[in-house]
Amino acid sequence: MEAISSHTGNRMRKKRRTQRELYGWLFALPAILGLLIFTLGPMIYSLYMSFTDYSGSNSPGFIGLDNYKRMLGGGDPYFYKSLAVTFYFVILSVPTGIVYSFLLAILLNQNVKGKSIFRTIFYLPSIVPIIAISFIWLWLLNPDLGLANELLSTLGLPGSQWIFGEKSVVPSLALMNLWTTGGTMIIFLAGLQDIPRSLYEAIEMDGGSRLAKLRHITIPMMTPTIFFNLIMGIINGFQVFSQAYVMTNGGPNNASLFYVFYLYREAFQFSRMGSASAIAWVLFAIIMVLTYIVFKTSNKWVYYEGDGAR
Amino acid sequence: MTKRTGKWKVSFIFLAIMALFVTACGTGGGGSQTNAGQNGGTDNGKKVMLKFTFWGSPEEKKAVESAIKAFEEKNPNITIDSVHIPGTDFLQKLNAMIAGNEAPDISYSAAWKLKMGEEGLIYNFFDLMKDDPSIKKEDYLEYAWWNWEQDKSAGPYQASVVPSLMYNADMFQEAGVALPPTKAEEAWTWEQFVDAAKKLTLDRNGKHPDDPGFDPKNIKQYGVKLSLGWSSYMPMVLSNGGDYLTADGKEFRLSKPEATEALQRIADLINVHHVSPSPVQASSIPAPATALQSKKVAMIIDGSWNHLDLSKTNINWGVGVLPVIKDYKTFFLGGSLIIFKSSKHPKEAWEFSKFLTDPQNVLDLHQGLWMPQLNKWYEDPELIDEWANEELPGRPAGFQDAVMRSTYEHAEPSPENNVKNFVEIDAAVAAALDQVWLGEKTAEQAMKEVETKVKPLVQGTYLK
Repeated sequence: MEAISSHTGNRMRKKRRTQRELYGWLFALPAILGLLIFTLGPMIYSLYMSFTDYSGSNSPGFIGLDNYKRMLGGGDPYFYKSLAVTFYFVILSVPTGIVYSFLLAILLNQNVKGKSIFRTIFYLPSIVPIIAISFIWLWLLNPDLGLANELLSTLGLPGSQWIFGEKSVVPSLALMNLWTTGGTMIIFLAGLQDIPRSLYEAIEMDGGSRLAKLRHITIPMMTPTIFFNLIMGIINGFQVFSQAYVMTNGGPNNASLFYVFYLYREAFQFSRMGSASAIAWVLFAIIMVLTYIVFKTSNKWVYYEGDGAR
Repeated sequence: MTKRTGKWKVSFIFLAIMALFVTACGTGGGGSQTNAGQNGGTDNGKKVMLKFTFWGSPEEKKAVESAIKAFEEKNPNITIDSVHIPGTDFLQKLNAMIAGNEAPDISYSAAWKLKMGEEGLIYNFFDLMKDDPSIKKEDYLEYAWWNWEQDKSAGPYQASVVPSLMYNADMFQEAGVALPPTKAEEAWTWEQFVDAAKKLTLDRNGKHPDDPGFDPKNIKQYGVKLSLGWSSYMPMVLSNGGDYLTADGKEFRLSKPEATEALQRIADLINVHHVSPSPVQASSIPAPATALQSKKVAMIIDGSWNHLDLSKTNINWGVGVLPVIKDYKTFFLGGSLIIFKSSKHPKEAWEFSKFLTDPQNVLDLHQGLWMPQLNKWYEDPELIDEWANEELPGRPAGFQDAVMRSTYEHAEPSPENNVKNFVEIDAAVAAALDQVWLGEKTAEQAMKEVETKVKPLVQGTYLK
């Protein structure tokens, strides 16, 4: 009797579980279908296109690895150039962006009067469309009339050619990038507020300085947030496009020919969709590899609370 | 009981989700269905609907739409479904339409049309022309053709524009400089041109470039501004006996001495004579008409489409012939109308294309923005009077000599529709020329360097 009832109980439980699983699937269905139809489908299609000579209007013919060979083998004079330019931008903009928004977040986390106003002010540029930002900075960085050179000259410093100089264009755009790191800053701010007060109190008891607080509590506790922002920064950095499109048109002399701008040009100016798809997949691979590397190094420097490690 | 409601809930949610997707997909399907309905209606022989895609300024849009109305009145069985797409997104949208089997019947087009021709997407204009005795190839300007092979054409220019020298006459008067000549035979030599430009250039202390103490970093008024694109520098290259490619079309010729000398002269206007803004300085100079109006620049060499904007200002502007290095040489440029092979009504599309390319039907645009592409409009005095009468606001005194005749009588092919792979070659050349305009390299160095880059792209010419 007992055995039987426990048996039926098992069956009931099993049934309930399958039912619950079904519910789960059903509720996830819109998202899953959305992913399949609007993301995965087009991705697979573009992977296929990268092996064809699709021009945007012809019926694509299969050409094997030719697009990749042409790109990686130097047949395309812009591939390595754009790769170098984009790496340069990422190397400049990601660390500066993280340091800048981290420091900003620490400042905005202080208990000062009107702190929500300051938070709003520093976050505000992030909700301005990048196209509008580009136009604003086009004027700020104008070598003849711009505020930037005006400021430098009142300080007695020489002006710059900014986005018109081959050497200064990428640093200029990286500088401009700092202005829009509000999103990163907000994430840091949330992370800072998650740090238990008790830890700070402990260090105060021990007579630790502010710097010690920063070094031994804030930064270690923030490593997961830094890690997250680093990965997002790398991914976004490689996809930089609008600045080149609006401000420099890839110039001067291709010095700001960012990877995605190069992709855009290949697709919509030179009408080589197949080759552009290949370019996109190489970018996907690059970002994957870099993300993997960053993940691999993460257990050396990222500290998770309650992990016990380190 | 509980089991029951559970089942019901599940099926309800499932149905709701399915409904969501079905309706979402349904709207798409519904759209194409109505379209099929419209096309189906035409097959009954009554009403024909043509889809027409085009770009252009608000001004151009208005004129094209009124031309469409006139066409529809003349052909009551044809309705034009016109779709205006901004120029920057045009190809993107058009490709999406083609991929979705919703290609227009007829469209504006830029250089990418040649690829579409090679791929068999569009009609060969010459084939369509064969069946129509009303048009002959000889009616058109000699180099007005967009061909993807010798005898396969994506059509002639639907209208043309030309490189043009425009100026603010008041500034010439203030500087005591004679106005630019309007006859090609009397065109300024390069030295005369530089000389005039110097007199028209002022730094913030009112000094000219040759004066002692002239401050090239603070120029208030420039003598001349060139657009620095191929349509501005190519007339000078041609004038000096150079060209884009060698005569056999096998080699890049912008790196040869005749061409680099001309390019260097233009760069020298910026970096040696200080009469013209560099790309950096030009970034703070407004669009041509405003630049002349605000007296930032005295002369501008840019496309003749600027005449329309100039006619809307109240300044005393004029046009002159381009300066020459040796001979007077220039070209017409323009887009063309393409008819898609997927069109169910190529005959009607052909009629519409003929209508829209007849200057008579878009005369408004031909009185300021465009110029005709048919020879008779340059030869028959009555027709000339319709579009080039110098009383028209868009046609200043001297226009007929300085713009119309000088181009018509000295026209070479424009590299855009003559040189194969021009879009790609030009992208490489323009990047290299950035350094020349900025004074970082000589034209000779930059063009020599770019030569290897463009070598695989140099594959001959279409017209000459």
